[in-house]
Amino acid sequence: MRWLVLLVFAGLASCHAHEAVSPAEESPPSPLRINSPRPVATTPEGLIKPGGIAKMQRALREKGLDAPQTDKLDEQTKSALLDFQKREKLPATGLPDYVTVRKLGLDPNDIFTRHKASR
Amino acid sequence: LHGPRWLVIPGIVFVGLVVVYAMLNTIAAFATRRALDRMHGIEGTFQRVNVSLWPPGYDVYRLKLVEKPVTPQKLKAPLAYADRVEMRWSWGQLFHRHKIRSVKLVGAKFRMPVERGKAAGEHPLNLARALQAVPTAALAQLSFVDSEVLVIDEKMKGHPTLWLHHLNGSLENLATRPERMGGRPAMLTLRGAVQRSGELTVFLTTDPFDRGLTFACSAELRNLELSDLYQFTKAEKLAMPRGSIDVFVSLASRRGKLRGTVKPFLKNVTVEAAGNAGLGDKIKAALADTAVQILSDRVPGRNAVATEVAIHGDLSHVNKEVFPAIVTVLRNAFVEGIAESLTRATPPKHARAG
Repeated sequence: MRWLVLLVFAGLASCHAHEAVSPAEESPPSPLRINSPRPVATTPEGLIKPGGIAKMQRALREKGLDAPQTDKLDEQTKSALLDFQKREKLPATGLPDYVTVRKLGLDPNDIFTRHKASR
Repeated sequence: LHGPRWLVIPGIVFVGLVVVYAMLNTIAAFATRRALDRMHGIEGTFQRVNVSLWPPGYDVYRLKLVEKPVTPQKLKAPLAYADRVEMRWSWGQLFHRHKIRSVKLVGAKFRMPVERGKAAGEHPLNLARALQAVPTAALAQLSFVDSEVLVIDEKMKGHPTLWLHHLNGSLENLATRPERMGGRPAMLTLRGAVQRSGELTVFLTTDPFDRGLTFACSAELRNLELSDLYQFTKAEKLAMPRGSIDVFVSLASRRGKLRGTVKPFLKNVTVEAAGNAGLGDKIKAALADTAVQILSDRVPGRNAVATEVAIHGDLSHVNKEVFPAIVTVLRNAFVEGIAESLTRATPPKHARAG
């Protein structure tokens, strides 16, 4: 009986070999940041000051949108940003940018890092 | 005149202003036509313009840019077209800081041919010098709504196209002088669709005044059906397997030295037996080109269908055709990644059968 079960499982496994399914570890590559005179980063998080995302989430909630309190740019926060941008007739990307931050009533200098002595 | 005398001068000024305002559109249309006529190798047309005073603004309707010499075929498929281009200033910034507040493209369409032999040039791009050559100006936001880009790969047989559409995005904080950037990079955010099925998100920041090409970018392409890439493989008579793909791209260039990673994830891929052994290598041979040299190091993947392609490259000798060069780098990395993933996805039994 045990051999029969193993045989069934082996059969199922061989069928499964024809179908490659999505991997468990589906995540973007690690973010990169370059400290040039105007620092650049591959992700918005790389340019946002500590606590900056929490400020945006609070502002989104104050505008009646469903943003979490995670201080992370997660899917729910991106979705709330997208809804806000659509409502304000801004380019709807779901990503934080300078104009969206201003429309949220925040100062981009409080949210995004910047070099004070720019050339 | 029977009214009080003090009303005469304000009255004349008012009538004068009304006449000037009525003529503004004609003057703006004339100036736009002259500016378009000065463009080299491109003919520009538009339907009409509209000037507004509050907020100070200027709209161009049905703007079309066609490559010269103009032919009926080129008129049907112009290099660039926009239903409406809206430019806005604010009075204070206009007089004190030379700052254009925003430019908005509505329903814009761009054709972007990636031509053979145009990715590298004798004169490397110097973005800082190019920006500083024009008068002092700063653009707070260039946004685009419901726009599309058609990237035409003229390096390949049949000139297959990559269709990016329903694009919404913005480019912010772009200035022609470093001190106008406020210590922050120019930032591009974009969301849209690729071919029929893919969902694309792009985040890019760049320091245009650093020496050489300095930028960082991440892109996520999700749920692209592999059948949507049929155009790219039909010339080589290759059948793509069924399934979809997610691709994550992370790129950073410091003064032209490019590094980054491409991570493709194949989902629900059905790999056919026997005949498709070595499909990954065939696809790579069919699609990859060496217009821009990149060195790809394969990092061993953690499972059968995920792979990670590390990119190292040199963009310091790229000329003004920088966008096609970056597209080529991305395309090659994408091809490398998908080919590698497919090779891994092919069951060993089938590999032996081939």
